[in-house]
Amino acid sequence: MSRARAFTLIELLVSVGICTALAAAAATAFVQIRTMVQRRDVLLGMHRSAETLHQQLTQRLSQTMQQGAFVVDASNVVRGGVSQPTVRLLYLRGKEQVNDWGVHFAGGSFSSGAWFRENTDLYWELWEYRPEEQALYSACSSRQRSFTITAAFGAPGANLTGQAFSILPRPRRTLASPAWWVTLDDNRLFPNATTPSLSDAHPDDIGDWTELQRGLRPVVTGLSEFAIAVEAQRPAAAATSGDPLFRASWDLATQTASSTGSSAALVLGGIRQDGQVPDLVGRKPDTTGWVWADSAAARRPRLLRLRWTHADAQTGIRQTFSHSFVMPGTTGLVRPP
Amino acid sequence: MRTRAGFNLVETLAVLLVVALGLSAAAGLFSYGLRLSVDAQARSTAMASAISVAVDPRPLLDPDLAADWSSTTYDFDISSPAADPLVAIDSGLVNGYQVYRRESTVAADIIAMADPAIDPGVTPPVRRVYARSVHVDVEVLDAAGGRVLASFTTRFVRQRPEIP
Repeated sequence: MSRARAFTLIELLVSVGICTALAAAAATAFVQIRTMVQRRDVLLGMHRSAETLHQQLTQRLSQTMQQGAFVVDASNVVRGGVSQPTVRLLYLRGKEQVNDWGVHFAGGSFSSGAWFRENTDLYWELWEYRPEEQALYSACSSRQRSFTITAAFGAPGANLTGQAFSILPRPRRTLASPAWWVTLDDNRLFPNATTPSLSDAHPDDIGDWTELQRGLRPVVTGLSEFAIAVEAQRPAAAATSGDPLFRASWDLATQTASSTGSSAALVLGGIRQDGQVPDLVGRKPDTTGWVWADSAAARRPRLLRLRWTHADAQTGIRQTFSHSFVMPGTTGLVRPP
Repeated sequence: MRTRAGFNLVETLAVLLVVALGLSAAAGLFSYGLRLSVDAQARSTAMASAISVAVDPRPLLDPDLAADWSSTTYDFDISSPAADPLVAIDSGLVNGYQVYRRESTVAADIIAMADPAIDPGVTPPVRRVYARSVHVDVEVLDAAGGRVLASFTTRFVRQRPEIP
């Protein structure tokens, strides 16, 4: 009678030993690969966010309204009843075209048959960095505003009563420092008009600033540091030190939002590209005593730099990104020091 | 009575070896696919950095980080066209990549625009605008001496807007 041969104890021990060694090696390799993949994914996610932000800003800044205000600001903002340091970027997108509207409003009255500069597709865009959430928020105002004329007025032969206009009045395009956000909510058609009926806004018009505040949504999260710098067409300081004209940043070490300028906000009235550049209140430069280096043309933003640091608490990965954006109508490059 | 023969140790080890090889091959394929995906994404994100560096020769704001970015002297002296072409080369770490930037410029024609409102003292009244033709090449590598992830070339006119 033959007996079925089984594994001996030695054979079993050798097999179990080899299997254990292989399993241990596999488990170690698996953990290493998983950690590596996790770190890659985190880093890749940071780069994807940076790329998306770069693409968005490249596209949107290229549509910056030449006559629109441009604001970079570092100050404390009340959120949820608490004053929080904040870095903000605000600009107007849109386009300008010259049309013959048949009427022209200037000096408080209408004249007929005038060519009129029409600004269309205008909307404000706000970027807001909130350090307490380590997040960058963004919002865009409505594409157009509607104003309805409720009183009988207009150019001779053109009664505009009851007609709706979808325009953005000039006072709301040109902001004033330091309370630059106030005029954004001024949605009257002609704020400086003496006749009250000219100041009627559409009842549904809640104001651009209010709308922007309501519409803010997080775009990128996990940002531990954030800074914006604006190089002007000819930054006065650049010739010697190479410093940007204005820089607003959130400093992780001091936990404060600060700016390099004399004030917390850089408020520019417009970024026109032709020679007739308006000053802060929209006037053309005077020919007498006009110094180019001190003019609005020289202060016109030429290059926008953003720097931010992504930080992932779980993996400890930190990556700093720096992206630059050429403002429309400029060559972009300032002569480096 | 029939003998029931099982696998012996050698057979078992051979099977284990074959299975291990198969699993290794599968893991290798998975790893290769993952690397391809990561590379594609890296090339895409590197291009954003290349475009940014092309328009801005001083990309970093932080002085500590700026130390990573070496720079040669730029010259915009249009009065010495004999020195053309002017070349400036930068290199350093930007956005986690090793970036090389080469810029060469040549003097462009002086553009003269009649604008008496701006330059009333000149007869005939002109506004002189000095400009240079700029050629920029940017290469983005995953590390120093590593693989090229993205390269970007652009040409533009750099204008010096001061009135002389």
